[in-house]
Amino acid sequence: MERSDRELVERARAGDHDAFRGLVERYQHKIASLALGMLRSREDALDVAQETFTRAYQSLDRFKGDAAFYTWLYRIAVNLCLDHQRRDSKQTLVPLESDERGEGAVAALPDALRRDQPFERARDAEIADRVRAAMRELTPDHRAVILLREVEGLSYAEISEVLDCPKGTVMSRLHYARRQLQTRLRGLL
Amino acid sequence: MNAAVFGLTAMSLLLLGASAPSGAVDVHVTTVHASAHGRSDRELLEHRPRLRRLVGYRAFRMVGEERRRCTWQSGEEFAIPGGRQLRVVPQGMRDQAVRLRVQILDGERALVDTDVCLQNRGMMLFGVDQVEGADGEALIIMLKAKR
Amino acid sequence: MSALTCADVESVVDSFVDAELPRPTLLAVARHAGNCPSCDRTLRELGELCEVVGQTARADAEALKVPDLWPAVARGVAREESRRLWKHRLRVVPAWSMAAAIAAAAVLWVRGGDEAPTRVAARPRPNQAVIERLDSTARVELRRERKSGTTLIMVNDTGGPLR
Repeated sequence: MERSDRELVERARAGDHDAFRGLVERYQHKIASLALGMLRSREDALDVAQETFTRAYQSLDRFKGDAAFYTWLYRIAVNLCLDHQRRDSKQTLVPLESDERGEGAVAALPDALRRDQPFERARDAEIADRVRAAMRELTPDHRAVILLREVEGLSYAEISEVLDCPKGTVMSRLHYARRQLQTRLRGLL
Repeated sequence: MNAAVFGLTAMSLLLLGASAPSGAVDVHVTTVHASAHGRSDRELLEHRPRLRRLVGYRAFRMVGEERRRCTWQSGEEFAIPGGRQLRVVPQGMRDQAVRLRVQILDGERALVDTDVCLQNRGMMLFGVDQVEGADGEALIIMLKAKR
Repeated sequence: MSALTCADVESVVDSFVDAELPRPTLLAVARHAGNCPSCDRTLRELGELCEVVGQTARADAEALKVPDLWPAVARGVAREESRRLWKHRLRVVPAWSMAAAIAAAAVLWVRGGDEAPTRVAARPRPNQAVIERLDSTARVELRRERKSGTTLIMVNDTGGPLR
């Protein structure tokens, strides 16, 4: 029977490495995906994902349990992504490399989507590329709210816990980010 | 009384690690190609954050890896790309650090010639950078020493 | 609930799309959009944007191959445990350090006490390297990572190839 996050956290605190490993395996793809959306580099996303779990282990005693474990983990990951981008702020963000594209990391939209949408395959790929370009132009804070809402499906309350900011701030960032995306994608949708 | 002094002396010698080096030093050399673009090898995933911080490049590929048991005062030469050699001469122990003479040789020319005390089981890096090159790339040598 | 105006709907359009409105307000917005082509278009366009952005990002996430991070994380866990163990030892074992101090004093007494007492060194960092001498025929730069002490000697050489 699968153990809950709370049980695994308690066991990990008591020194059970297998329990912490369970948490890593449960969330590694989600954290890496969130980091990929923020950083647009597979390598950096994996670095941040690894660091997220290391930091989580170091701070496990400070996790109070009043928030869900995954929102606490997302908070660590988002903060690491923001730190990463601040450090790299002098460099242009590097889009996913062509050899990573070859691996399918940024492939055209999957078949399930093509069945649901009345677009040609080439148009799907164009839309996806334009969406990625538009996302890259958002500030890290705005990109974070979009990813947490549209990909992770978090509520406003959960996003405000992750970002440690008021719900009103979440709403205004979401509103602003979406208007920016609409402007940049005008005529495409 | 003499036995007690002897016992304390023996214990303190042990505690202070005051022993002449014996045996050998395991030297582990990993050569890595660093560049601004591209993928990194999976084996280097663990080292990538540190390499990025220190070296500044983004992508790291393994070029070679070699482990050798080196005896004190005896040099071992490791071939590294570009026809160069890495020469390592373990010279002794100082507390918990391994004293090494390390040279990066390009034929007769010593690009680097250094005496270093490296913490036992620790790692240090050497890099050969060609900043004039358009692509921005470097050769990184990860050197570990364990007694 | 009284009928909403277009300005009312404009102010809650994001919350409507995200289903974050109380049910009565949700219904009131939907009712308004049913009678107002402009607001209806606004809501549809926002919905399509969210759909496309979400699908693109989810597709990238699904295509991402994540290797097992546990081996690398486990090393971080081991380092943290080692750090905690040292911290614990330093806090709770004064008797041990007292015995070592006595033993050190005894050694000095046996050896005649001519030498100055050894300064107790701070615990070295794991990759600490002390450069005693450095010569080079090219331009050299030294860099050090503070936390681990990892040292890099970088030499700039315009000579041979790097591969």
